[in-house]
Amino acid sequence: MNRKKIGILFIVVLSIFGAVVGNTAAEEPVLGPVNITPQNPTVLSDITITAKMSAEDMQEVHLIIKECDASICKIERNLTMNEKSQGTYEVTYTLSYDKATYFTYYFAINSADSWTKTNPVDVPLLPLPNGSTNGANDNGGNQSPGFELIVVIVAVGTLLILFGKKRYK
Amino acid sequence: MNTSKKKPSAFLLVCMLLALTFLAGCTQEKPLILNDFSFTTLSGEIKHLSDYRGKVVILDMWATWCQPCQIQMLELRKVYENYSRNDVEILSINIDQRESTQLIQNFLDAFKNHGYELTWVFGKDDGSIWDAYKVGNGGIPAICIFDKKGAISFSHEGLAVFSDIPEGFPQDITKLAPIIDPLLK
Repeated sequence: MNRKKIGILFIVVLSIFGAVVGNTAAEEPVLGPVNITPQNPTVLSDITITAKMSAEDMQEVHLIIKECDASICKIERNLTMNEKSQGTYEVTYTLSYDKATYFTYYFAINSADSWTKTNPVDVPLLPLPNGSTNGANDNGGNQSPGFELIVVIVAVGTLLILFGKKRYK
Repeated sequence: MNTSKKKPSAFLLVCMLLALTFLAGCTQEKPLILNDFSFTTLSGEIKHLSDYRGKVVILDMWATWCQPCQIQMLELRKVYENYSRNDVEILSINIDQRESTQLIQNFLDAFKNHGYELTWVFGKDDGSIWDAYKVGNGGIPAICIFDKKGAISFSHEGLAVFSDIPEGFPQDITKLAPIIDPLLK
């Protein structure tokens, strides 16, 4: 009788264990094809990233992107992707670093209240065509005329007016 | 008669304006500003820049995901090996608030496992350091160098080397030794 009870208890415990494991072993998100438009993006251009992904109880998908050159990386941007159609997520982003030579992106996927990150991918960037600034963020320092220049202009203007008056007299 | 009286006053006005121009240029001297900021070390201690008064301090702003920042660590290691602990301190402050202490420790362990032990001060920013000291267009790595009195002496956005330029690096890359040396005198 004791052995029977122990056997039943063992089966019950095993069943509970199996149920718990089965419930917690949530399916990992699956990343499908990723499209980047345009295929060969240039610096400072708009890029659209579209990705197919599937997961149990998908809640949020974020794109994390940073622009870099050989010596600097700009701070990562965290963008919420919109579900374009079932399982297809999309976001459009305007690149902002005029000297970037590549950008790196990865996805952060929230499914079943758990975040999963994909491996980062580097995408090379084409430089701007020669002579094109395209609204480049060229922070060349403070270029606005200073107080001193305004005073010089006023002084010269006053002199010109005085000499002009003298001539007419 | 009237015109001769007007001439000197107009002339005087012009002279005053020109004098003002030169004087305005002469008053551009920047006041000495002593900086202070706080950060949390990897062991949880709160430290301040002022704790390092009397030393030249290199503030290195970085994040683990930044590849150039990883190269910067190797150059900072050369800086740390070439100056006395009494003279120079490096504060490598991770400015990405999403990154945990454990992630930063893993980063340091990875360097150590490859034979590059990074033994200076590492810490985390709560956002205040980045707000106050980000350089240029807000890229990293970014460096600020404070003199022994705590006044900011130099700031730079992007990779910088200690002294010698490694092969493959641009020849016009910023060197830190010529900036640090005068501050030690």
